[in-house]
Amino acid sequence: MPDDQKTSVSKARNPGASHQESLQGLSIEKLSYQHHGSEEVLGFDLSVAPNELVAILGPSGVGKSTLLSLIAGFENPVSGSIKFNGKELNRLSPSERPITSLFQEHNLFAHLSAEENIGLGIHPGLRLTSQDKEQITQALDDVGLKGLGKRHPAELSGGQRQRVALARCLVRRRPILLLDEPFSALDQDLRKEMLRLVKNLHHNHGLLTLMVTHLKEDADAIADRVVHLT
Amino acid sequence: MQRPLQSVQKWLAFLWPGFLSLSFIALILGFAFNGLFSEIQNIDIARIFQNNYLFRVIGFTFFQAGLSTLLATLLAIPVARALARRPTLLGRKIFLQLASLSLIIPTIVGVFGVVAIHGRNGWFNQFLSLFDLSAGNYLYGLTGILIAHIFFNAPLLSRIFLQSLEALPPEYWRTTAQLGMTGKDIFRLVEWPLLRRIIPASCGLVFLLCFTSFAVVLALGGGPSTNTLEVAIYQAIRFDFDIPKAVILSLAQLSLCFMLLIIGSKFARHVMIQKTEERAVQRFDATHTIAKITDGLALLAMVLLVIPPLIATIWKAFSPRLAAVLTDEKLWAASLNSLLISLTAGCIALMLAIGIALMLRSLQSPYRLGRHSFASSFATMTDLSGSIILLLPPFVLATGLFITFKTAASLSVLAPFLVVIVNALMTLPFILRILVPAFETSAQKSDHLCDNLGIKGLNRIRIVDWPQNRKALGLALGLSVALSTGDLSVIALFGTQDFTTLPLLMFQKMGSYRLDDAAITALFLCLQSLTLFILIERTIAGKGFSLSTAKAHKKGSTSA
Repeated sequence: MPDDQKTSVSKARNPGASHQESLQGLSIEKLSYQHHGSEEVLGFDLSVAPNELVAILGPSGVGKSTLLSLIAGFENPVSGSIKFNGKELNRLSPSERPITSLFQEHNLFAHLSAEENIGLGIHPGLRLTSQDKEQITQALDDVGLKGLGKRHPAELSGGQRQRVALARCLVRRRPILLLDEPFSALDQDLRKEMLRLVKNLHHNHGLLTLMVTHLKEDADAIADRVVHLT
Repeated sequence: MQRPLQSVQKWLAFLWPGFLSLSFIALILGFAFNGLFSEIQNIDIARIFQNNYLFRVIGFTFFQAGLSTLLATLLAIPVARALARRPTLLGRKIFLQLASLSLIIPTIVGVFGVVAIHGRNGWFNQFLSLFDLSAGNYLYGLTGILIAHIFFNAPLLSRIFLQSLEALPPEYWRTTAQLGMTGKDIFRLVEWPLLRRIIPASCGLVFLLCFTSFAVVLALGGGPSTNTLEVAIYQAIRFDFDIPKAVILSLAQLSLCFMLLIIGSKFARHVMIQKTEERAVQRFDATHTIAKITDGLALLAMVLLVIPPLIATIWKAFSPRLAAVLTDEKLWAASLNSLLISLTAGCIALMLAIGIALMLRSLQSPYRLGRHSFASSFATMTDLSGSIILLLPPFVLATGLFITFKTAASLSVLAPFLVVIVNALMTLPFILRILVPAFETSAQKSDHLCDNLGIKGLNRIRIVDWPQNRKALGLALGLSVALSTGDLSVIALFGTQDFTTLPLLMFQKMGSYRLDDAAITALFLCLQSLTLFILIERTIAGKGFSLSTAKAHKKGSTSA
């Protein structure tokens, strides 16, 4: 039974990820986690090459989101290590990690405009120079929301809100992008469109991307490699 | 020709309980205003403006209410922030329970606790005397009023603020952590914009409570320079027997309160007595040293303000005088009076509230009358007439009623009647907040199903409405009775040697500096209030409640 909680890595589409390369990219070794007040111990092993887009699939409750929370530093592991390019991340606070995250919802502060929400990714106190503002305009353009910067989240559709959140991820210029069921709340056509956008951004910005999803078709549509958590 | 008639019948069938309630309230208000206006011809305008007395009183009323609200808010914000960031803090739950009690704890008991700590021989001065220091007699006057108002309102405000902070999605805190926002950034860009939206409503309510506060100012005011309108009305009637003066003051108070209502149009509606949900939120900014220091200081200030008065009251109650006070006939007579008044007032308030809540649910449900174009404006009016009483100072109401009926009956007959009526109307806005949403939800859940199965009339009340709403009814009656038990307003005006209630008896003992006796009475009063609350709530809510709602829920879901 303990094996059930390990990740089984399917290397169907990327047999090249081997130990020689493990210094580069993200490597997660013998990472274990225990929910507060729960007996069950979740275990994770995974390595992801730079510029690789990996989708993580699995039934609910298996710890897909927990894995992303551990990488981002929102949860603390019991043991094990998370390394990026050979550097240990475990001790770093969430903001010190080379990571940017996109959640399923509530990525944006409802009382701030799209521009301000993106601006927070450049300066956490929102003290922005005119250069920064140009960068925000550029990011809005990149995600296809030209001219909508003054709108508040309530005035945007669900898909547009996630685009704004993606734009914020871009301006942060972090090498790792973590997506936690980012488009599950959207309808099928919109989801496909958003996945294409993510794939483009992934390539254009040279990101290492991990996406958690429960939809196999989404995983197949976008990923270089699909990992099943069981 | 038959259709209009049918529709009138339909409206009447749905709305008659509400019309009864509203007529009753209108009748009482009519008597009160009739009394107030009948005295107007006796008013000598020149006398009022002679010595600026009215303006001094109005000025101080505004000043103390504004300052109390400001200080309570300034303390409540950092405390709410600290509690929001620290969901697992030791003692957090107890503090929140205490804070939600602050509306129910009799004002005079809180005042007593404040005196026991901050009075000339209070614990604070006793503590200072250990170091040969003394803060002197700082309590009576503005300081005392402010301390007591903050004591009551800062916990209430921090609870309201905390509730809205906790309603923010947990993702926010993950985002702030990942973006590297500092505590200052988070306050400036996330917490403050949120608080700024709820401050007008919640602080407006607190301002109003301080503006019309009576027992606090009466007990701690300490002189004519610190009179508020409410106390001035009391003194005009009780000591000067100057009814025209009381009417002028009442009208001033009334018009100012209405102005406040217009300025802060949507008060109270948003402030509900609710239980805070326990949510697993991790705040990453809680671990920083600065956050720990500021949170610690805020919590310490709050604890030092709120806890010692409560402990002192209990501590002083266990004195050698315990047996003597408890065997005093006066205590038991007052206790019986309190019991009768609170139960009668509670039942009247409950009846009125049921009528209004039934009316509102029929007006708001689209399945009933809600589709009619004027139903919603009618509903707003009904709702407002329930809340408007919150603005009507009890003394204004009592003064008006007293003038109307003073020739018809002797004071010994009139006094209990006035106390009961005014208490009933005063608690009405609070219990409407409980009943109206409960009744609305139950109508939404069951209307279709009941019509489908032909469950009507008494059967509907027995099978559907009663089991679905008995919990809310119990809470409403319990709250109303508890509030009436602790009330010291109208009774201070009309109480006599032969007619006292527990709060008045306690106030008299404080006035004659028998603090031990007052403490014992305070404890007795709290126990009576709390026992009644628990007993009523439990009895009406009933043990079988959970089972019957579970069934009702099941029915509802299978139909959907």
